[in-house]
Amino acid sequence: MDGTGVILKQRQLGLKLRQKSGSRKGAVKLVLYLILLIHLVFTGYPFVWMVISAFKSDKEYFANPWGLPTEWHFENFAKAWNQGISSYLFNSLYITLFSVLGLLVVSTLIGYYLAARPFRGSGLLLGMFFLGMLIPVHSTLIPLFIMANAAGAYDTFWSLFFPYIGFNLPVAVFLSHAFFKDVPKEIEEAAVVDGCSIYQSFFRIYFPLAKPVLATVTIVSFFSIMNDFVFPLVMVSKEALKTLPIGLMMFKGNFSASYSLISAALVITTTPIIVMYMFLQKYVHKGVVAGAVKG
Amino acid sequence: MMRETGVSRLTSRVFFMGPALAVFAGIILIPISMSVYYSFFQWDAISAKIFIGLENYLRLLQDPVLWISLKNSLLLTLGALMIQLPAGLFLAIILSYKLKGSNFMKTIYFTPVMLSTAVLGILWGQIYDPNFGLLNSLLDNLGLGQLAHAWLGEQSTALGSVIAVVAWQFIGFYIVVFYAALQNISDEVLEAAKVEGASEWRIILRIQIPLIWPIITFTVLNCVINSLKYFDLIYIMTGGGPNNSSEVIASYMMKNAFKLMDYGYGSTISSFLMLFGLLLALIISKGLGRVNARFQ
Repeated sequence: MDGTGVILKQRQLGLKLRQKSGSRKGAVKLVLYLILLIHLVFTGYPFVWMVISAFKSDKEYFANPWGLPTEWHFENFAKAWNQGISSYLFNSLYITLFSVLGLLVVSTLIGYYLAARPFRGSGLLLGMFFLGMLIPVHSTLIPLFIMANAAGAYDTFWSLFFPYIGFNLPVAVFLSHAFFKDVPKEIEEAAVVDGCSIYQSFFRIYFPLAKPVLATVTIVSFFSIMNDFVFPLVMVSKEALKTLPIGLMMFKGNFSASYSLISAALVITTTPIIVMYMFLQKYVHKGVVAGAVKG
Repeated sequence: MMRETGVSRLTSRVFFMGPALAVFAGIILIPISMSVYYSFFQWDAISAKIFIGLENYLRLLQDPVLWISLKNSLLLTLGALMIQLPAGLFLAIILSYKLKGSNFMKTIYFTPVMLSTAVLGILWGQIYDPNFGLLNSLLDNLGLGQLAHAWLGEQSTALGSVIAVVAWQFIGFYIVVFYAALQNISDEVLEAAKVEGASEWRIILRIQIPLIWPIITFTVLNCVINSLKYFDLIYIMTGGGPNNSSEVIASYMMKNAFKLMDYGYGSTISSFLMLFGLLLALIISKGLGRVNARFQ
């Protein structure tokens, strides 16, 4: 292995090499920066345009797609809000909140058990959950629709609640199992010696420890449930249960002639998500990476 | 450690694993088997089911729209693999040089990933609008007016237009995932390579990419699986049209089941979608695993 002196020498050498090609490096940097900026405009401009359009009158939307509005029409937002967007937003928040809570409870219970009390077949169970990640939602829609109808759950809260838990379980179980497996065994051994039952050790010791993984599961599943399009499309027809994605489609159908009003509805829909994302940005990225790099 | 036995072990197992297993079985396992079961019937959900054996599957093989959908699904997958992953990796590598504003840009790049496809579908529907849309107006201003199209309304451009939006949405996802992976490479390895005079390209190709290969493997799998399931934007932006030119397997299944009320044939398509996806996942993980082994 290298001594520190050698490393220092190598660092200096590396520095020299880098300085030599300094001006070329500068040019390369400029090009790289330009690439980043182009992608920034490509990603961001549609949103900028959406916001600008939302303040225009329809006439101006059509006549002048690029410029700023000459008159700022704030009333577009009030109109969109009152024409259903508010109720769709609250429906979405409501179903998402309860589904995420349910998912957290269900996934930590089994994640803990499989980690703390492995048994013959527990590995197989985990594998089955992972396989669940490969299953397309569409392969289950017809039976779920039929089952919901037979059970009287069509057009109720439950026809969204259970599918959301089911389809988010694989990632959630994986994350919580991985977390609980890394908690030192000594903690529980001490608890058991003190006369703790498995329930007490879960609720008093493990569950409170699990805050980071609860946060990750919450973030990953929150956005996937909030933005889901398929289940409300198939399982819900009542206005009182329509969530934002489906509600927006309805809204677009009802106001198909008013592009600026639709833009206002899009802005209202997007704002809470973007604000939340900006605040939680670091955690969102971490959560998504943890959820994505499962294996 | 003390282990529960007998009845107490049974109750604790039911308590801890029961809810998850019940939901998983009820929402995924049972519906999948029912889907396969329904695929052997002719059924409109109103009259009684008629067992017709493999007839739905024979129909599937001869259905020209299914082949169009399959081709489109594969094009969508290929488009995702060839655009999103390389662009994501490329931009992640640039970001990893930590130029000024990198963090801010990463945040913006990821924004479309967080939004609902309904929002993005409607927004891009407006951008693609043949009369008032930004895209045609941009082409006009650039003097390329002859390139203007009714992007979502023409057979030749509908699918490509959707593929572009999917890429626009998901590049940010891969940027963030690859960026995180690149950060995990220890500085010493990179430093040592620089000292030995390795060029940036060599470092990227010989060190960074091999070291994050397991992540790349995963993202390829993830990308293929998600592309096969792709439905939302198609439904919102083109509805599979015009003339089935942008139909994908999932949207064709939805059309047969919930629009034409042909639950038997719809189930056949969804069983096919599932088997095809699992098969592809198997092939990909085997293939990439082999490359993985070579790297190690």
